[in-house]
Amino acid sequence: MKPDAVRGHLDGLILAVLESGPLHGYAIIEALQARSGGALDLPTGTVYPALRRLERAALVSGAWSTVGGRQRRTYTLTRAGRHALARQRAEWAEFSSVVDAVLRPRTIPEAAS
Amino acid sequence: MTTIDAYVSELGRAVHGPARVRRSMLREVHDGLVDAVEAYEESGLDPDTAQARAVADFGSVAELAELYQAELTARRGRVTALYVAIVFPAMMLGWDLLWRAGMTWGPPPGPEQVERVRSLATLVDIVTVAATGAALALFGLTFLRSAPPRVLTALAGVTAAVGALGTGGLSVWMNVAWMDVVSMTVVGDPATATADSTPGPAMLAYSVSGALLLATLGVAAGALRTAISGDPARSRRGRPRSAPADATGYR
Repeated sequence: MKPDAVRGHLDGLILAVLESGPLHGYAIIEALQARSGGALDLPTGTVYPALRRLERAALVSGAWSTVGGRQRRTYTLTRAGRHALARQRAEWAEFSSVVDAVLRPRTIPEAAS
Repeated sequence: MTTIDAYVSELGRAVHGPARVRRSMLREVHDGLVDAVEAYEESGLDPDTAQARAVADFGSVAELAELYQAELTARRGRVTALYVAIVFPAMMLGWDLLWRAGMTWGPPPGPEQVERVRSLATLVDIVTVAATGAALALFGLTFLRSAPPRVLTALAGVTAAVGALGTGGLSVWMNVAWMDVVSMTVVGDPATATADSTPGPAMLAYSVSGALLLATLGVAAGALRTAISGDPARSRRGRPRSAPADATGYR
């Protein structure tokens, strides 16, 4: 998938990946790639500023902690982040169903009457 | 110097902002690249190729600097707004307490001057309240992901500057209006000083307020500098415009 197509949805995708528990930056990148089956092709460097943006909006909280013997910045979904994720899901479901309804080829002529 | 170190310092040169946040961001980028290199090495690549691959996946500095700068600029705006929202009410409260305790001023020199000083004092309070209100609003806006960081930070800088120049200028004027008494309290001439014009607290209050207003002007200058030099066209320093125009516009 092209980076431009992903760009507007990156924040929501990150929130979704953090839903199951706190992760550090590289683990988030790995999770995004794993969950998309490797189809997400965006510069990995865009994830870090996105995390800072989500942190600024208080949707995630970031803190340095020791993971695997190394200092890492770990991000946790906040309560506001969970709400934002739920909202984003609902919006996406509506959006995709509308686009899908319009884009779907009309194979059955009777349906058009 | 490894490929990763070179990359991180190049990114560091391209962005600026509050030192602590900037350091933390660069450190995080460095850690993330080390993680990526390790993953590539585990999959069998030699160290040099692994580093080159990790840096290539990351994206070019020219393409990313704008995104990192947007966050640093937003942080600068938030810090500036918070500073104004704390310092200005604190100064107003401090002077209020001093006035109420009758510690700064001697006996009023005349009803005319009292009236002038009183209206100037009201103006100082109005400027203070307005600056604090604006700062609180801007602070709140920094929580919106869609708010433009450079605009917010520029406005926070202007609020700090106008607040400092406004309250500072009016205070100087107010002191000129009451010059006789002020010189008495500052000098503290024992021959003319009355019991309720203690020079110590007044001197301290003048110094603290002066220092705070100067510090505020410094904070304002920092915010305006970040807002102006956070211009993506400048931070790329003439590199070709490879990032899409909407690169900062994720929502």
